[in-house]
Amino acid sequence: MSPNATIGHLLPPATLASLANLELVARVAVEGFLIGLHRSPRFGFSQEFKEYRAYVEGDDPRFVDWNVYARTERTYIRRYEGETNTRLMILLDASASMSYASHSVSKLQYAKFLTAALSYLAMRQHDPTGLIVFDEEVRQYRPPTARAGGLTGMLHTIDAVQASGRTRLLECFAKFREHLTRRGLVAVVTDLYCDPAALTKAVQPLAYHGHDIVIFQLLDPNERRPEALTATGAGKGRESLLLEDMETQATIQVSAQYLRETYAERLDTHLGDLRRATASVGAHHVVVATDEPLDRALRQYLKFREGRA
Amino acid sequence: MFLAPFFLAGLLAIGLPIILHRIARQERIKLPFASLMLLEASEVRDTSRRSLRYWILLALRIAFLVLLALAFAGPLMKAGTATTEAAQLHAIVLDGSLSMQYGDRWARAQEQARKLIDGLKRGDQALLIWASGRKIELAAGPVGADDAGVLRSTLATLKPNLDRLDYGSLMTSSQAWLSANGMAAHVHLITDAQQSASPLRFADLQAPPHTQVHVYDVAGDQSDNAGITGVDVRGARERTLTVNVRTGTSTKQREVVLSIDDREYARKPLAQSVIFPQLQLKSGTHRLRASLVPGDALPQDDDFYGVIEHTEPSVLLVTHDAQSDEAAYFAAAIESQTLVPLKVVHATAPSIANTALQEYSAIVIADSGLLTPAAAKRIAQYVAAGGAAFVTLGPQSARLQNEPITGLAVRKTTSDEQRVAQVDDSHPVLRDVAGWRAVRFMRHIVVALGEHDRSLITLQDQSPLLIERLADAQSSGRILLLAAPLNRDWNDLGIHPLFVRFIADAAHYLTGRDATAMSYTVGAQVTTGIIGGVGGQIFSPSGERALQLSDLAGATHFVPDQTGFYEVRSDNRKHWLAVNVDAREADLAKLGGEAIARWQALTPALPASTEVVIQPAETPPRSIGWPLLVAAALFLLSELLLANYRLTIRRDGTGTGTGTGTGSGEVMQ
Repeated sequence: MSPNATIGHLLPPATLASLANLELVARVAVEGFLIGLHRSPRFGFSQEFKEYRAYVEGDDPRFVDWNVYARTERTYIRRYEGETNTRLMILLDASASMSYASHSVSKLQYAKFLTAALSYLAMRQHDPTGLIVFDEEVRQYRPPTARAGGLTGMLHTIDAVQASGRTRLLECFAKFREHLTRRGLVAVVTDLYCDPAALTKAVQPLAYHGHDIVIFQLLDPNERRPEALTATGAGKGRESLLLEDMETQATIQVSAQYLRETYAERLDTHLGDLRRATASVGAHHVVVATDEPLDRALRQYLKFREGRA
Repeated sequence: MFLAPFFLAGLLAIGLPIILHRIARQERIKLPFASLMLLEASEVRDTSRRSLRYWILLALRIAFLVLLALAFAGPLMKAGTATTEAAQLHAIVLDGSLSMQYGDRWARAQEQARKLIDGLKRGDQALLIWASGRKIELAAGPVGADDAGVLRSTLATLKPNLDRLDYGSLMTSSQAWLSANGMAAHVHLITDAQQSASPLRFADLQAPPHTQVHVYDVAGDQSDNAGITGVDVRGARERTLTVNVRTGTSTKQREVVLSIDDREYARKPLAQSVIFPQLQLKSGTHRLRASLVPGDALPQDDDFYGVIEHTEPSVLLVTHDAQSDEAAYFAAAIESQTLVPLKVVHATAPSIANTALQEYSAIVIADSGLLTPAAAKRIAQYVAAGGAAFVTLGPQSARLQNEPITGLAVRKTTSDEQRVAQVDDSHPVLRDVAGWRAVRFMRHIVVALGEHDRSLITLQDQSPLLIERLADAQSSGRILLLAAPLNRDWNDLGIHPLFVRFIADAAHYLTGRDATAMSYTVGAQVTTGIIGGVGGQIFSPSGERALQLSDLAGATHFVPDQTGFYEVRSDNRKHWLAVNVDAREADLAKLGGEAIARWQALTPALPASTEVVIQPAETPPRSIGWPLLVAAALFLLSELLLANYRLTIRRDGTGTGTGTGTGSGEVMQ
C-alpha cells in the first residue's frame, strides 16, 4: 500500500474539504478506498467470469450461455465478478437543513463528497450515472451517462449546488419517476427530516418500479448528540437554548436537559421508524455521520451494488 | 439623617446590576439547527428555577450595593425613637451638698438612684443631675433605658462636696435641663430634705410644666450634728473672741479648741457660746481656727477658720494740699469714729503713683479732678480688686468731661441753690444720719448716673448728690462719689453736725471693718485683693495653686472649694482668706413631711392629661453604619455562594453581561 493510498483511505471529511477540486476529492477518496479493498477477496470490479448458474424463470435470457446450451442442451446463466452497466441515479438533497454544520464540513459538503465519490466510482465501472438535485422541488436533473466527459460535468454540477429551501420528499419523489424510466440504482443522499410514513409513501413507487434504492441519511455529530451544543460554542453553559430551524426559521426554546436525555430517545425512535419504513419498501437505509470518512458509505454502496449483482 | 449624605450617590450603582442582568436576560443566543422536527419546547421547568435564582442573585447584588452605600453614608438613628405613649423623662437629681456626707446618707442616695435606674421602662429617657451649691451639673444623659449603664457608671463616680444646696435654685434651673425634651418629666430628688435648703419663697419650688417632683428622703433617723456656726471678735485693742456653737443633742464630752496661727491657743468645754477673752495678739494678720474635738459624723463643720487683722486700719486721704481745710475736715471726721480706729495717711495726687494702695483699707480723694490718668487708673484697679474709695468732685473735676475714676459723664456745674430732696435711709452710710435737708448746696456738679450706679442722695433738681458704684455684684470693691466738694463756696456740709457722722459711717462702711473675723464660705465668689495687672497667685489649703495660668488675668475673684486658709500672694504681699462651710448646710433639721407633700403637690399631677404632648426623645442620634456594613458583607458572601455554587458560570467570555460587585465577570445563567 502506497502512502498516498493509505492517506486517501483514511482521509477524514475535514481533510477532503481542504481539497479544492471536487474531482480530486472523489479520486482521492475512491482510489484510496479501492486500494484498501484489495485486501478483501470478496469485492471487486471486473468483467471476469465467475460461475454458471442454472437458468430460472425470470432471468434475463440475454445472459444465457448458448454455447453451453448447444453442448449440454441445458440453459445456464453466466455470472461475472461485477455487475456492469447498472444505472446509478443519485438524488441529492439540497435543502437548507443540509447546510447545517457543527464542524468544518457541512452535511451538504459531505453529501457533495459522497455524491462525487459515488459518481466517480460508478463512472469508473462505466455505469451510467445521473444526478437529481432537489429541495422542495427538483432543482436540477442530469440524465445518466457513461460518457468519458460525463464525470467532469457531473462534478461541476455537484460543486455548484447550494443549500436552500425546504424538503418535500413526497412531491420530489413523485417527480423523480418522470426521470427514472429505466430500472437502476437510486442513491438518495439526504438528512431525511421527514415523516417515516411519508418516506414510505414517497419511496414505494420507485421500489415498485424496480429501482434498487439506498438512502444515505447524513447526520451531523450535533444532530446525534445535541447536548454538545451546551458544552461548546455560544451555547456553552446554558441550561436552555433557543434553536432555529434552518428551513422554516421557526425557533424553539429547548432545555439542555431535554437535549441530554430526551432527544437521543426520540432520534433513536425516529431512525428506527425510518429504518422500518425503508425496509418495508425494500430500500436500504444507511446512516452516515459527517465526521466519519467516506469509506463506510462507499462500502455500504458496494455491498448494496454487490447484492444487486 | 446621615453622617455623610454624599455617599448616597453610590445608590446609583444599583443600576449597574439591573442593566447587566437585563442585558444578560435579553441575550437569548439563537443557534441554528437543522430541523426542529425532533425537538420540543422544554424550558419551563428549568427556567422557573433558574429565574428564581436569577432574581435572588439580582436582589442580593442590589441589596449589597444599597447597604454598602448606606453604610458609608452613615444613617443616623435616634435611639429610642420608638417612644411609647408611656415614655417619660426621668431626671434623677442627687443632692451633692455637704450634709449628704453625714453618716451613710450618700450610700443610701446612691442605692436609691440605682433603684430608680433599674426601674426605668423601655422607651423612657433618663438623666443624672448632680446638684450642689451653684453647681447643677448634668452628670449623664439623657439616655434611653437601654443605655442605663452610662448612668450607673457615672453614679459610682459622684461624691458630695462642701457646698450648700438650695432647692429653689435647683428647681429654677430644672427648666434648663428639662425643657429641651418635650416628654413628660419626673424629677426624682434624692436628698436629705434639709430645712435650710428651702428657698425664701416657697413658690421657687415650682417645677416646670408637665413635671412631677418626687422627693426621696435618705436622711434617715440620725440628724444630730454639732458644729461651729461662727466667730465674733470684739474690741479694738484687746480682742474678745466668741465662738458660736451648734451643740446638738449629743451628751458626748467635747471641747472647743482655739488655734491661732496653727498653734493651740486655748481649749474650753463645749457650750453654745464659748468666749476667749483678751486675746494676746501681736500686731499683724492672724489665722484663727476654732475646732470641736472630737469630731462627729459631719466633721467638716467642726472647724471654723477666720482671719483677724490686729492692726490699725489706715485710710489714705488724697487732697491737693494736706494742710488745707478740706484735708483737715476729712481727717478729723474719719478719726472721730470709735468703733474701729482708723488711721489717716495724707497724700497728694502725684504721690499716689508710688504708693502701695493695697495697704489701705480705703482711699478718700478730695476732688478727683486732681488725679493724673495713671493715678485714676490705679485707684480704679484698686477698687476692682476689692478696695473702697470715697471721692468728691470739685473745681478740677468740673473741668473734665468725665470723672476720671468712675468715668461718669460730667454734664455741668450748676449755681442754683439746691437742697436734698431724697435720701436712701436704707443704706448703711445714711441709716443713722439725719438732717440732710438742712444742708444748702449753692453749687454742685451734675453728673449722669451709670447703668449700675445707685443714687443715695438726690437733690431737688433730681441730680444725684451721693452716688454708690459697686465694682460688681460679687466684689467688695465700691466707690462713694459726692458730687460736691467740702468747700464753703459750694455748700455748708462741713459745718453741719451730720458731716462727722456721715464721714465716719462712710469710712466704716468703706473699710468694711466690723467685729467679725473675716471669712468666706465655700462656693461663694471671693474677692482676692489681687489688683489686675499686678498679678498674683492663690494657694489652696492643701497647698495647690487655686488659679490656673489662664485665670491669672482675671484673678480678682475666685470660688473656693475647700475649707481652710487660702494664701494670696500678690505684689510682694501675702494675705489669707479663710473659707468655711456654709453654717446653714450644717443644720441637719429636716423638712417636715407636710412641707414635702406640699412641694410635690405644687406641680399638677401628670399623665392622663391630654395637654402633655409626647414627643420622641431628643437623644443624640447614633450611626448604624457598622451594622449595615456587616449586613453588606453577609449579602456579598451570599451572593458569592449563590453565584459560584448554585448557578452555572459561563467562563468563555462570549457573553456580554458581567457580574457586579463580585468580580466574577461571568454571566450567571
